[in-house]
Amino acid sequence: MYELAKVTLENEMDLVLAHKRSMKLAEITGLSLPSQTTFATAVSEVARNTIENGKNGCLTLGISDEKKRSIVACIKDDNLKDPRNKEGLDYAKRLVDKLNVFTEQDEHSIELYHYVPNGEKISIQQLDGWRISFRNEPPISPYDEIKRKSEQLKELTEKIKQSEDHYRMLADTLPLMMFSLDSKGKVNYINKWMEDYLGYGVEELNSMDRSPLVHTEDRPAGNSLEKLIESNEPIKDEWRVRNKNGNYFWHLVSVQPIIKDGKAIEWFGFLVDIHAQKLFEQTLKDNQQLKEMQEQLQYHIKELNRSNEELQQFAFVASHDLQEPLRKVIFYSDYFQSQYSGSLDQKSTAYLKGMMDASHRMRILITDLLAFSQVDKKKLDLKKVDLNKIIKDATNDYELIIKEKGADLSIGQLPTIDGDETMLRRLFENLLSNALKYVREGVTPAIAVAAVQNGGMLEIEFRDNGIGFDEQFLPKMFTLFQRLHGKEKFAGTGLGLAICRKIAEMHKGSITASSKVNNGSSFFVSLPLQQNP
Amino acid sequence: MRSGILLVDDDAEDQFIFRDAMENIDNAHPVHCEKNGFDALNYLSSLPSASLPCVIVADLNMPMMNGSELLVRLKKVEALRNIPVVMYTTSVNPLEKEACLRLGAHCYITKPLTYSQSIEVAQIIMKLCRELQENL
Repeated sequence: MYELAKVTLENEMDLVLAHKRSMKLAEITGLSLPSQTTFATAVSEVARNTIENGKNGCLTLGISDEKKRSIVACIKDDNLKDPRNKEGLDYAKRLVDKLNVFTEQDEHSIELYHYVPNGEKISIQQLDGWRISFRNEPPISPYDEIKRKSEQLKELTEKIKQSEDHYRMLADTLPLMMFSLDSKGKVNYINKWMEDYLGYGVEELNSMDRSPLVHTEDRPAGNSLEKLIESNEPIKDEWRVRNKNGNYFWHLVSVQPIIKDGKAIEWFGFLVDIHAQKLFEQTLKDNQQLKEMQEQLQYHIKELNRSNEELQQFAFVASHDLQEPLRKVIFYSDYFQSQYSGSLDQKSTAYLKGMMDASHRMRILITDLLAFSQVDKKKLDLKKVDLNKIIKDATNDYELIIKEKGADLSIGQLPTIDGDETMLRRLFENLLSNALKYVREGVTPAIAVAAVQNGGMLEIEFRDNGIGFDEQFLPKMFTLFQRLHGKEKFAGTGLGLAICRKIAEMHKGSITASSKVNNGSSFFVSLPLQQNP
Repeated sequence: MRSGILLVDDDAEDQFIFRDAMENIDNAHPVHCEKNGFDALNYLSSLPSASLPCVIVADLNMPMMNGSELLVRLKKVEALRNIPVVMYTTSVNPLEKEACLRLGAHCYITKPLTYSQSIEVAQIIMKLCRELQENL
């Protein structure tokens, strides 16, 4: 059907209009006056029924698009009741050429057809002309005028609403957040994306403290959007915005003011997720920093190695050159002691002895220092080393002291491992010497050396029943010049265990100890059975 | 018959101590001193073969030419090869000792720390000289 005119059916006035318009339709299509009246009467009958019993009734007048040309009146009605039994319908049926009733859910439509004899094919132009003539039909009453205007308004409103819906849908489906604020910072609108992201609607946003939604570090100076808004300046920044799960993601923020008379009357803003880009950027930056730090580290390592080498060189030269004059001091004082002891008084003899003792202590210190620097300087001379022979050599070196103290030695079977013979001998000697040195008064020293293999490592334990030590000093014990006991009681330089550690580490092994005060100590040396070149 | 001892040592005090010890045991052999291996070789090459010393005592640590270098040079010269070289040093490094003995040193003596040790050293040298003379 080609629609030409519409009339809502609400009251008696509408019925008059429906009759008038039907007459007009019949007239412009060239029907005779009796036909005009017949058609208008039929329409009026159905329309009356709709006005009296129906709901949201509406009459549409037009020309049928069927082959056989006829004028059509379609009356729609939201009433639940079936209109088919109504009296008016039967009467109308007799007045028109065809009457169709359609029911679609709760809506009924009744179509009344009146054939137009000798009807030619109607052109679009003709239809448009008729439409205009209907629109320009002089109002039959002020009511008609008002009604027509109101219908036009309704139509326009519908169009605006459709267009608004369209934009809203667009705004809601865009993968970004949009919002508008009034001049005081009150939220007027947020799109669905933003509502879903934040987990808050407009009302909640206006009644809550919004500042926690932006990460503390990214919040604009002045700490609030409201303060910024006072400036009338557009905002463009990158903020971490909190989602409904409490996680922050990087967003590009842009808020533009709508300026009127030099004042912002409204603000439009959007937030775009730039988290991935931001992370990528950060990673690049971190990588760069890491690279720079690595380069710096490399440089420092090189510098450290160089200064370490110099230090070793110095230690070696210094200790070697220190040894010579000291040897002379010892020699000359010994000469005095051995050749003139008889002619010296008691005090001079004591002083001379003091000089000798001090010189000897210094000599031991220098010898140990030299040993320490040599251990560090030397490259490992790797061979198959029978540890049974090494421990035998070490005990032979201390045979005198062992006999003197009556020490009880128990040495277990040891394997052959890859190592530097000289260094391993020094390691064993140092540990044995400590066990023989730090003994308890009145207790026969008992020293046990035993080894177990654990994976590719050999764990050797040197156990004694000596004075022991407080384990809180353990970390210090293996560093240079650390002494736990006074020199009066136990002589030493504080280098022995440092040398042991160095030797163990050079063999890719380690050394540690456990003890209780006055309850002996155990030193554990862990060495690889094989050295991979 | 050769006589005399050549001491090669850059340390003037050690030279003094050595000489003193030798005198104290009434050693009849004259002691000649040189400051380094280089000077020692020059001195030896200036001597007629009959005047060569019967023993060379050499310190290890010396400027210009150290003890082990001197040892290597001496063993290369036909006329000097048979003079026993006694290494005389403060170092008690066993590796160094082994290295010197491998290079052909007669023995290895640690420098004295006491007066009595210095006498012992002098006696060892004396004994060596006497043995050499008796064997000839």
